[in-house]
Amino acid sequence: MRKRIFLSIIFAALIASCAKEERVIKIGVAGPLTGDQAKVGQDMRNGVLLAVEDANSRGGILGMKVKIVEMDDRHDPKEAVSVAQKLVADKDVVGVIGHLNSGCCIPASDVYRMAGMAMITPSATNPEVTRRQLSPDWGPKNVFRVCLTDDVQGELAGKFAIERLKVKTAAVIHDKSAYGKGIAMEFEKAFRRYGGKVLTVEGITQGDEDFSAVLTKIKGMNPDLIYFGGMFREGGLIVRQAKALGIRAIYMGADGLYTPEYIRIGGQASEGSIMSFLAPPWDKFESVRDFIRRYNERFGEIQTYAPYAYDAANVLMEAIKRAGTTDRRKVSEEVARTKGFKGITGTITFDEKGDNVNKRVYFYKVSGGKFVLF
Amino acid sequence: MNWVGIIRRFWAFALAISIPLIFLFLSSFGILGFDYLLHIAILCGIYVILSVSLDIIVGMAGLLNLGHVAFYAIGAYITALLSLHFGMNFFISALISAAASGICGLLLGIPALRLRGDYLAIVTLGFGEILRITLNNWDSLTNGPRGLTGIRHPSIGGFVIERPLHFYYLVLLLVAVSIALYWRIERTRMGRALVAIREDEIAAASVGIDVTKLKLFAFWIGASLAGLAGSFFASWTGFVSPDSFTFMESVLILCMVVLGGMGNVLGVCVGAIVLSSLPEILREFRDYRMLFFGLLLIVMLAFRPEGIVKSKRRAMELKRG
Amino acid sequence: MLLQQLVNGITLGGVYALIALGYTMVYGILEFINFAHGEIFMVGAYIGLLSVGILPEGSPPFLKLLFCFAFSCSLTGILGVLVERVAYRPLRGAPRLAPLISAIGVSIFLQNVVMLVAGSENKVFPQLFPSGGVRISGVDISYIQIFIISLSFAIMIALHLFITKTRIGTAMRATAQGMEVASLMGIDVDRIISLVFLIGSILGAVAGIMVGMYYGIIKYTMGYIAGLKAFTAAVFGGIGNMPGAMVGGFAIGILESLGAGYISSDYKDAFAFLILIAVLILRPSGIMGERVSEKV
Repeated sequence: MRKRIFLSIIFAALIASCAKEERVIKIGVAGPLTGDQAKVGQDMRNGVLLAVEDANSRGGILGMKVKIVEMDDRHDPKEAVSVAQKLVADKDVVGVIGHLNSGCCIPASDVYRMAGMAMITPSATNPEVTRRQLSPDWGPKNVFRVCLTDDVQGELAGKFAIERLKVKTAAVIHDKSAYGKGIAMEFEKAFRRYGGKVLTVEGITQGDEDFSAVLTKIKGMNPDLIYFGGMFREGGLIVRQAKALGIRAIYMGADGLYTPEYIRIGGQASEGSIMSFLAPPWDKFESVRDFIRRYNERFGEIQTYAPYAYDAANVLMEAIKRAGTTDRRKVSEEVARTKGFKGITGTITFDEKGDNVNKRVYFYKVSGGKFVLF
Repeated sequence: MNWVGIIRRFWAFALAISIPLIFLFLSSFGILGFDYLLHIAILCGIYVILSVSLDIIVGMAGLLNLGHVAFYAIGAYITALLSLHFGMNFFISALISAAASGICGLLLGIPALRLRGDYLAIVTLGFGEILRITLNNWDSLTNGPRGLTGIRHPSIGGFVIERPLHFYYLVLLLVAVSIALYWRIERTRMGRALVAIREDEIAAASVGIDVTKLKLFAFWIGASLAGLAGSFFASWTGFVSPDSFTFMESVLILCMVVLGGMGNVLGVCVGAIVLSSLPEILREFRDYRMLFFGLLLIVMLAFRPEGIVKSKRRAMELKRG
Repeated sequence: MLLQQLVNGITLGGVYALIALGYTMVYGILEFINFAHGEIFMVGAYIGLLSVGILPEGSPPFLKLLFCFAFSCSLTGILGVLVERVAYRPLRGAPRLAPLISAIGVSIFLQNVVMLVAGSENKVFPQLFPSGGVRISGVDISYIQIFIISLSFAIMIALHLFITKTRIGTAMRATAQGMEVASLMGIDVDRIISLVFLIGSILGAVAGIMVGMYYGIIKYTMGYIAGLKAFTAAVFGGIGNMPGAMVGGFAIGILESLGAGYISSDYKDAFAFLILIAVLILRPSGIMGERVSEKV
């Protein structure tokens, strides 16, 4: 008798655990949520969170609630692959917003491809991220981005340096990541094409603290401009150490520096540095203002990509609605068909590579501890 | 060779690895995908091979190697490069990778093994780090921190091993090979000589044991096996980057060996399975994982240096006095 | 350029020397590599950061600086003593590998405690020192660099006097020469060992704060590489030999700067490791150490 009761309890428990939980649509969010770039990664996650909450307050998608599954890749390509595998294994995840870094998007996209799952990145700017899917054995497109690409950003930066900043010589530093090296090389190409002279190209290692050796070498060359391809932590450290060494060159970088964290780390030395970014100042941007206000109330200062993450999440959810199903491949097909989507950051249309056709670049200068349009 | 004994033990191990798998499956009925569980199981398999390989060096021979991850890395990168540049099949590149790692083990061992225990530990650590820094900076060969993607999966004839279940079987095979190798060494004169060296090097030398040669042998085998694990890893994930091969990985593998029981293959397997599956299962506690490992090392060494699965002989050796 | 690299190297060297002293003092007595010493350095930096937040906003920077050092040195010193009592003392008789592995455990533990408590991101160290510097024949030396170099020298001289001229210093040297004999002579060996850990940790804390001020940011992983380089310095100068550690520190700092400047900055960490391996294999007694034969 006791054995029977025992078995029935086990049986009941098994049945209970089989019971269908309420079906949800899950959206994966992958980025560096801890570590050096945590602030920017969380910023991205918060943008997606707001988008999902907005959708839920309107009744969800296809009658189901939307949930995010956040994954930390610590801007490490190997972690990114692991994260991708976990997201793919979760049957309820329909698509992924992320990763933040190009270096993570590239290996992770292979995993998503095999599962037919769409990946929309709000911030990875290396052209290679989407170019890979043009190869014939890739299969249907599944990689998209709402930001711009570095061939445009680097090109325009090189032109800007020559024409607006009127410098003649430059030293280029990069952090050897897919993003950093990529944009540094694009800048270098453009700078030379517009008539400038590149004195040297140096690589530094992400995570290092002391760049005085490289900077001392550059100091000896006396360039007009130092261009840095990389993220805010190293960017801030380098500008600080450069100024301490008495280097007078103009310091310029890309979207990786466009975050308050850069100013904090660089301190006084960051005054006067120049960087490119893909959006006009947030307060000039009508459609974004409301989002910024809501974001500030809830999470504090915006770092960089929250609005893009917001838009990317909405693009995905729209696509799910249009597809009428949570089947990953069908959703991915719909994402590819996104045309004229009105996001808060502008209109989004994906071209045949999966890139956003909307590509504008703005240049900023750090002045009085804030970013102002050049 | 006791064939029956070996076959029996092989099935015991296959069962042993499958059981936690089944248990996990039942207890998380449909919440975690089956594929994901296989993912964990394959990871366990890799770490079992790595722990066994380190145990040959640390457990059997008593040499503290803090740079073991270097051999793992060499195996992985060589397989990656052979696959990307020559399209070489895993089953061939695995042998080449293991051989290469083995040679590196020898090259490291020849100068380093003359050194005393703690100095040897530091030299191996230095070696591991130099390798990682080199992998991170030799852009033209290794693509630096961006890593190498697109490594081919293993294939036999036309059949490609792509599905997690097949990878699981493959790693199981490699685990069996490692354990069989370990036993083979343990039961021979070489194994006993290694233990003698571990217990008292001078006494061993005085009875005519060629200490240097045997230490080199342990290093060579341990390194080769680690290279094999690396080769599998590269073919499984399809991607390698220097960040997978940090000093912390070496420490992790050391933890598995210490926890499970240095010099005891069964213990080491248990240590490996526990320490590699736990972080995946307790994903929410991920932040606390390394903290736990650090504490584990301190506590284990203070109270039970011989590990979970006891070996009386080890217990005697490692206790105070 | 050469002079500039030298200045950078000497600054780094001062920091390495302070940390190296901690390693060498412990090794001199216990013949044990305190793997966790790099983490002590890191904790010193974090406690320094913490202390700055304690004083009221408007306090003069000089006061803040003083308090920062005092606060961090005391707490970190105590931590060092605690670690010895808890993790190493129980293993004093055990074979050499046991405390080494335990030390690795302590190192990991400390790193992660700090990460969990303070956060994993980079922490900005407040600017307590005026920025700017002097320029001498084309070489820019910042005020912080001057501070670091002078403070390092001052501490090393003070330590040297302490070891050679005071009774306790003599007791420490005696214990380093032979623990059993020293205790037979009436020296409380346990106390001396605790003192050694205390001093070593204080030096580490000073180094940590200096690094925090110099680079402006600190991270919970900063102890690992700095610790290994300092250990290299200690071995280079002759492990167990205090003047050797000081010389070794500056040597490694200069070699690293020159190597990074003239050969390759990418591999600068690898240089330190290469030097370490080379010294251990070719001349384990270091530059200034005596030949130590293996005890039979």
